[in-house]
Amino acid sequence: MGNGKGTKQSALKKLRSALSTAGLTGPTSHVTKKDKKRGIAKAGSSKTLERRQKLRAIQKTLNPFEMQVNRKHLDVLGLKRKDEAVNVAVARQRAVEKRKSTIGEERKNKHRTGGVVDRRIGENDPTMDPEEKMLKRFTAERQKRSSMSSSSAALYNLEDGGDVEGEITSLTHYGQSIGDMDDFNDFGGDDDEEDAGTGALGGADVSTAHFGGFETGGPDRKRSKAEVMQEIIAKSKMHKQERQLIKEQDEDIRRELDDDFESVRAMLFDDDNSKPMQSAATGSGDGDGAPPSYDTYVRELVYEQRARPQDRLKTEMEAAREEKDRLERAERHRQRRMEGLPSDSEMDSDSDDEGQSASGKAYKTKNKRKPVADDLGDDFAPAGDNDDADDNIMETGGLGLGLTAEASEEEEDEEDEEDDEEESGSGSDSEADSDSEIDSDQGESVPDDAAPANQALRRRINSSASQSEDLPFTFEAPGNYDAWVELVGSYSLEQQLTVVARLRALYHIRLSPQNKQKLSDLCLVLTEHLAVLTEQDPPVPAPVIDGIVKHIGELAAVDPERFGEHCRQAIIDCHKRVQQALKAGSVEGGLRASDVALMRLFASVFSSSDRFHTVITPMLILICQYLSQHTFATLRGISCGLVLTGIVHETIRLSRRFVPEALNFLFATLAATVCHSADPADWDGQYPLSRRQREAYRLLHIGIAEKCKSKKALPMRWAWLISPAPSSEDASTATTPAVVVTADVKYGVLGACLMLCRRFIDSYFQMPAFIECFEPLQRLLAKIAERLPKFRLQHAPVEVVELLETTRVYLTEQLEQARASRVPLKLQSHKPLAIGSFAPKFESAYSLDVHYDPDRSRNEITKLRRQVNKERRGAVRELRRDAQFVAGERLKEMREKDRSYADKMKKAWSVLEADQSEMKKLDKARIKERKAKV
Amino acid sequence: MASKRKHSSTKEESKAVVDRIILLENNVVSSQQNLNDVVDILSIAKSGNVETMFVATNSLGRIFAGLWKQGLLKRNKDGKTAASTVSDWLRGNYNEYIGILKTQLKHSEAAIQVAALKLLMQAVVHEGENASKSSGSYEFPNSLYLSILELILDGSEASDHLLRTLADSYLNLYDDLRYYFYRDVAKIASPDYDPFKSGKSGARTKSLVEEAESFVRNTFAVMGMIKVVPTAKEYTAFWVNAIPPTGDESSVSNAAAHRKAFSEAWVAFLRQPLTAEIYKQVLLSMHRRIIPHMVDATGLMDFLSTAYDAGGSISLLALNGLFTLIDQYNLNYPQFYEKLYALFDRNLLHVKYRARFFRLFELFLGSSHLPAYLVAAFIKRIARLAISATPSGAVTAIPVIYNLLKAHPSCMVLIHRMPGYEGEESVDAESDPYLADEADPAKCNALSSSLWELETLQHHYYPNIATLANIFSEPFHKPKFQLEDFLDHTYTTFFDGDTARTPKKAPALAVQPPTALLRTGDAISDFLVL
Repeated sequence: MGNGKGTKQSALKKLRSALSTAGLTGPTSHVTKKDKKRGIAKAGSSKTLERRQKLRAIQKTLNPFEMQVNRKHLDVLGLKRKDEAVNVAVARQRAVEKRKSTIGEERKNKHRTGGVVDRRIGENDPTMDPEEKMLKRFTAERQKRSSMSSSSAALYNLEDGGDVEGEITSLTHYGQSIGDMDDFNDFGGDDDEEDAGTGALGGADVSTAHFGGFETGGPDRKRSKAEVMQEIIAKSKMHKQERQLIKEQDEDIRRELDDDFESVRAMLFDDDNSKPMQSAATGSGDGDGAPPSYDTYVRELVYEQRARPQDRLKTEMEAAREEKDRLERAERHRQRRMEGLPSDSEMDSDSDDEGQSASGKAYKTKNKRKPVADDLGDDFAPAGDNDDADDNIMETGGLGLGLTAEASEEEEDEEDEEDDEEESGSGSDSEADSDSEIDSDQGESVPDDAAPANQALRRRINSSASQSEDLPFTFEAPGNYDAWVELVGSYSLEQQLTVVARLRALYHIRLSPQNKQKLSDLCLVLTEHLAVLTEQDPPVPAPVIDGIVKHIGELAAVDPERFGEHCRQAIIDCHKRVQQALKAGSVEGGLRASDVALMRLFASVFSSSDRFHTVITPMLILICQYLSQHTFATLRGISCGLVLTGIVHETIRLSRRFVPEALNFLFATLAATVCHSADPADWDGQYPLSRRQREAYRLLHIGIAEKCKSKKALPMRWAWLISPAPSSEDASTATTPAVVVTADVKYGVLGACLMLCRRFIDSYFQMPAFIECFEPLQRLLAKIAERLPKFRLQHAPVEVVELLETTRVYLTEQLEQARASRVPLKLQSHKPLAIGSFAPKFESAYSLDVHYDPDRSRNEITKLRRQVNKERRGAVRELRRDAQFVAGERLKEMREKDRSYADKMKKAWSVLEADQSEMKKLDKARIKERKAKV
Repeated sequence: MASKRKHSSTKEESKAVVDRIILLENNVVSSQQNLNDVVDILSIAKSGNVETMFVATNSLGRIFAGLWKQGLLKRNKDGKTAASTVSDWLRGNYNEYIGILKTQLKHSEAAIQVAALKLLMQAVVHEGENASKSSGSYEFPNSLYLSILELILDGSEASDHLLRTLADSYLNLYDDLRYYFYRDVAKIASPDYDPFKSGKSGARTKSLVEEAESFVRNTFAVMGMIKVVPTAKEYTAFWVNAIPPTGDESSVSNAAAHRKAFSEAWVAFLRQPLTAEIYKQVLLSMHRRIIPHMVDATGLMDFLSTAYDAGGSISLLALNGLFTLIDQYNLNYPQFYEKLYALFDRNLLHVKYRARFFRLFELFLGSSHLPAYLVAAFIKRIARLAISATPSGAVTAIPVIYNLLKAHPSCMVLIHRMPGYEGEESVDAESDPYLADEADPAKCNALSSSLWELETLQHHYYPNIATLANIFSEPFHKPKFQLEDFLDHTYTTFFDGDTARTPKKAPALAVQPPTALLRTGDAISDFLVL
């Protein structure tokens, strides 16, 4: 064909020249029929690919007008876009092809129902040769089979074993079990060692058998399929033999191992299983008696617990790091809560759920192992030990020996309250009145609630019952307090701790899902028990209390929600009582020792540094209300106040929040020791006291003549907090206040106040208003130091005197520091804000394509609208093209139909015409003949 | 009735006596011949038990009412006729009857007191009508009324029931009674009133102080119960209304006269030595009930300024009345702000009336023309009080301070001080120039101090207060606080607010569970042995 060199060529000419240069057209090599058979056609498949690529390249380069270049708005360096230049023709072609395969197919099958889909491999691929097709299908079949044989179902198929015996029960191919031809090592002919392992085809196989190989290879190429197969079979037989050999060797080794195991086994089960083992061993050895009971072994082994794979045990370092991380995380969460931020957001990000709470996790890590009966061992003190402990109690405490359960005694006598109510009416200045404006029915309901509680608290602990009695090891989990009392009523306090420990082990949370409920029940029961124990007079020894607190602290994590709700209710009940008492103006104040103890417990069980806490915040309010409104007329009240102040300090220890009521109470109590109750001007400072409160404080005033009995400071006792029992009140009304307020006691209170003051100084010295808050204390301490020494300080315990002096010096130092370091406030130093402007915004390069609308939402709506329009246009276009395509197809079909009809008619006509012409010829001939005859 | 408590035997006895009284009464009413039986009934009324006394006085009341109607009790001027002898004798008996009633006013039974009051009031009507008829113009028997009132108000025996009856069934309903009540109260309370002039109560000397106390108490109770205020133009409801009064200046129907009587009564009452409780009560209601109806409200100035100087809660209460005087009656009160400043003592945020006080305080400091030093002094004082106050006090103080700072931007230096402000070369960090004990707000140097107290409140244990105090660290864009929302908080409202909702989440537990009740190093373990 002519290869025109001129530039002004027609498109057709260009195409032709391009095709010829690419070697696609023009003189093709002559392919004989024989060649075709031998596989040149096979090579054609690769050629067609090549051809197609070439054609595509030609198509691409041929017509530059078919390329559509999309203009860019902005030129971004290094950004490559797919749609920079689009070949329109190609795209159109592709679209047409796609339509053919989708809409076209649909059209074809329009009125068809059912039918057969040909899924044979390569059946619809015109580029595949029949040979290739066959090979692929064979491969697929083999793969399927091999995967089946490797699956467990085939592995334990008993029928496979038949091969070993030589019975042909499996499928065969050319007399060979197909199951044994499990990889393609057998297929390729020669079998190198390295290839055998990998299962890949050998290099030689690849070179000879693969696509190009048949063409290039010399004589090998001429091997027929039959030859190849024969070779394969031979190889596979050889392999089979090898495998059998290996199998036999394995069997031998296993037998040896079994023999060894017999001896090891005897060592393993030396105790209980030894007898059957021995008998089995002897049986086998002697050859007589019972045969070696294989079945019994099997059965034993079935029931024996197998070792399960376990997570790797953590090294000490890892465990330590994990613990450190956990603590750090818990601290971080606490800090966040302290600032009033939700710690949950962080919790979610952490992998472990803090829902179980930090301590819950500690619990988890501590008890990684499932607790078993052995765990009890720690608590199983030997019987002798237990007895000793009980004996000790007998000697030291005696612990309410002989006290029996006393029920149903009303401790509040109503008359007192009524009297006090009248009193409070006159002293209406104090806030107590405005606070106590609770509606009367509420007030009435309180004693009803309180009475049974009192009764419960008055319950005596019978510790004497059974120190020699052995404790059982299992208990029923107590669901409520009565059940608990029934359970442990006969045991001593120490034994009760053991009972708790055993209960916790018995009903460990991992053992059963119901145990969570039981343990949280136990936790609540213990809380109640603690309340009861702290009400005991004489008090219960501290180790018992601490033991119970420890248990509560650990059990709280089981169900913190329930425990928290219980505590919240306890606080609410206590508040009701306190408020009732404040309203009535009663001296007792409605606060019990158990309330104080529980509050101390809450302060350490809960995260008390939180900014808001559902238990701690109401508790603080309750404490502060008590401290600021109660009239402290008894030593019990003052002791309660001091302990409550200590609790306040404990809750603010970390957060250092400011509690004015605590300071007011401390200062007022300090002032009470030296100030005259009659003279209000004497009580200078920032603590407002009503006349009534001042008069009540006379209790603490240290008189001139008073002397201390001992030179040592008298520490406060828990017993001071416990309200006098009604029984003792009846017995000896004169000595109802168990502790007579002597000078020792007063100095003890003074000392306690000073110690608490010191604590608060430590907590608050960084506060901006430290000076304002503590200057009154400085004056007060000066006053105490000035007034006391004149007549009394030589009588005072040395410790208190020293404490007074050190506190004074310390406070003076701190105040000086605070004065030196204080700077004026700069609370309003904010980031400067831009001044609002009304000048119109000027765009230096305004473009119509850019949207300058400052309204964000409107912008977004416009954008969405534009997208919708674009999509709609695209969809319309697609539909139109589809319609065009369908119309074209229909036209094509119509034409085809017309054409075939025309052909048919043509044929018919030609036949008819031929007949006609024959007939005419005949007629003519006949006429001729006739003429001729004639 | 009291008679129910008697034994059955005495019951039968009294029954017989009652029957006799009825018989005698019928005798007297039926004919004038039996007038002598009045003496019998009088003796029964004097001596008998409660029931018979009650019946006897009642029947006497009916008898004398009839006699008044018949005109038999009218004084005869024509000398010694039989009729005048009879009327003199009857009048003697009548006076005796009135005397019995007056003693009954002091009876221990409230019911007897009330009954006696009712009969006495009837007597007042009869006497008044009689006097009006004889003179031909309006007359009010004030001497009788005065003696009745004096007995009621002075007596410590006067029951609540009696006082309530007096106020509700007479003073609140009848204008003339009220008018004369005010006049009589003023008369009794006036220092030159001589109780011995009437000569009836000889026992009065024995306990003047005690009587004065009960007078104050009873008078205040009755005056408190009078709901009608002198605002009407014309008064028409009269108890004694035989001849309606003419509408001249000093008459009972005149509005101005009523106002005058009201004012005089109150002024006279306030001169009395008041107990602390009544003092507070008067001050509480003064600006609403008294000052608006006074003829000359400035007359109360002395009383109020004395109260304002008294200090404590009395001052707080006086403030309201004083403010009304300053505000509406043009009272010029010198050194008002100094005295207001003095009210800010340590009790202020703890007392019951602080809500009322701060409402007024907002008014006083609402003016934008107040000097900055003054406002700063108040702000500093409130802040200083807030750090020792209860949460309810602090929650009041913070919005007050915010509003003040917002209204007086020149005081913003209190919370934000930069060097170079208003000619200050540098900020003196060394010492706080504020003088807490200085009584004069002009000299306390508050403007050169800072409100460290507020920064401390930002760390208050009660989270709501801490949050509220944080507004001082934010830009002052928020509008003024409505003070009403913050005034009525108490511990109880805080507690209830915190515990009302059941929490959704589990409460956070401590990082380290406790191992003992008292932590090692616990503040409590320093001084307490378990």
